[in-house]
Amino acid sequence: MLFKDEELILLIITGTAILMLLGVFIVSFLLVYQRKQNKNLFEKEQLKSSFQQELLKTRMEIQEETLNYVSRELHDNVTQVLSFVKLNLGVLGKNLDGNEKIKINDNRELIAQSISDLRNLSKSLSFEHISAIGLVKTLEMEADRINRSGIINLSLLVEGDTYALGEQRELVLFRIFQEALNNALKHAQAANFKISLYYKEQMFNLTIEDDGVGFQPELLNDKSGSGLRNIINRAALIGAKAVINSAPGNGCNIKLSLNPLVQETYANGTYSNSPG
Amino acid sequence: MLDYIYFYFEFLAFSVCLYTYKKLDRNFKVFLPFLAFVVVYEFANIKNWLLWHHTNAWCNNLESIIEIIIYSRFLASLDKRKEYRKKINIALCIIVVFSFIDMLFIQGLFMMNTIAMVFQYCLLTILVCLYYFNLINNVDESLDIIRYPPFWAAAGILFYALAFIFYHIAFSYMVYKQNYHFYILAHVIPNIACLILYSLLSTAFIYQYKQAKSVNNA
Repeated sequence: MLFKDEELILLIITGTAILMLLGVFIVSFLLVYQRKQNKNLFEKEQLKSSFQQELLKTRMEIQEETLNYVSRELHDNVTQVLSFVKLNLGVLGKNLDGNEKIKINDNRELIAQSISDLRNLSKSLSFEHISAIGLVKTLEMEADRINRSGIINLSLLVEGDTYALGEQRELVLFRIFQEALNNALKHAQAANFKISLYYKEQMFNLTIEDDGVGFQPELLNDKSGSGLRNIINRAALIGAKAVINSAPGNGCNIKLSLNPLVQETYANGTYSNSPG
Repeated sequence: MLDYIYFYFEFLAFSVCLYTYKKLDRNFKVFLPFLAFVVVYEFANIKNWLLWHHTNAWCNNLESIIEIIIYSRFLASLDKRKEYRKKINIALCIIVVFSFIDMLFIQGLFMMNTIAMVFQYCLLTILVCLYYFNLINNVDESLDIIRYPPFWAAAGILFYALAFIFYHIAFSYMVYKQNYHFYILAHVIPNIACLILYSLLSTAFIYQYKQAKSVNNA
């Protein structure tokens, strides 16, 4: 059955219009689909990042609890036992004379020194102690303890009017300092270690430098550079930006910058300035 | 003036291509000589310089073969898979051979080879749909499809091909019947199709230019 001319014209117009609409549909579908896909990918990245943050925070909490436990054990058990040993030596020394008494007293002094060092170590491990006296005081005590041990020359510089950064932030900054010091002692064979704190109104900067052997920057991406990556991850957790610079023979320089006015929310809803 | 609106858009696309030529990707650079040819060809057609045996159907037939080759090769160049490009080339060869067979043995050189043209446009439609399908499945996470030049070029080719399918299916019969309304359609549909194709091609060139410029500045 043949179409009439007018019907054919109508068919051509309708058919062409439908095909053009099909084209519009295809293009629109592609645009909408791609947008949704991008949105899903973005959300997936956000969830992944949030999970990583939560994981890191949990690891840090476990680490702090462990350190706190060790700190308490050192303080409550080990130092107590050593005090008892010192006491017993004192009683023993009363019945001796001459060289033996001198030897006993020397040993008592050594034990007293050990008790003092253990107490200081216990304090540096305990987050409660750090929270109580603040970052600057803690660093000063730590610098004093390290310098007395003679293993490395540690200098501390504080500029500007100090203010509280929040317990969580100060704890993380102190742990970063401990990690950097550990690296300087274990790997860098450094003789000098410098830590500088710059307190400004809208910016806080922490710089840690050593004059050790340095390392290749590629180490940051290597499996063996996990301690260094830990520093960067911990810094990111409190909203700070950490930049690590080093080259073989040029020591290591760690710069942290933080805006104290910006509050960071942890995954469990506490803020960076809260007691946690 | 409105009769030749398609020519103005062709010229616009050619001008934009010429202006942005240095920053275009390799697969877009083929459009400059092609658009130059199209502008010259359409100008000659408007001036009726290409009439032979009282018709310009012969040059339309040849021009449609050149078009299908250029657009198909362009769509093939957007995909990195060698096997896929090989298949497109095979399909293109088949269509071109059929177009010549249609021209020489079926409809003739001096009649519009509408059968071949319908197949050509169907091939273009399929190629664009396959390209979009691959784009959805293999798209890069950071790709902003609205600013992606091949997306716009392919959209232009899609609308161009879809607009002409029904038109060419009915062309021979309606010309035979000398229907006045079809004469009007014969002006409107090509105008709209060319308008869409060349404006989207121009958009693609502009986005390509902007992208290349921002990469250089970075």
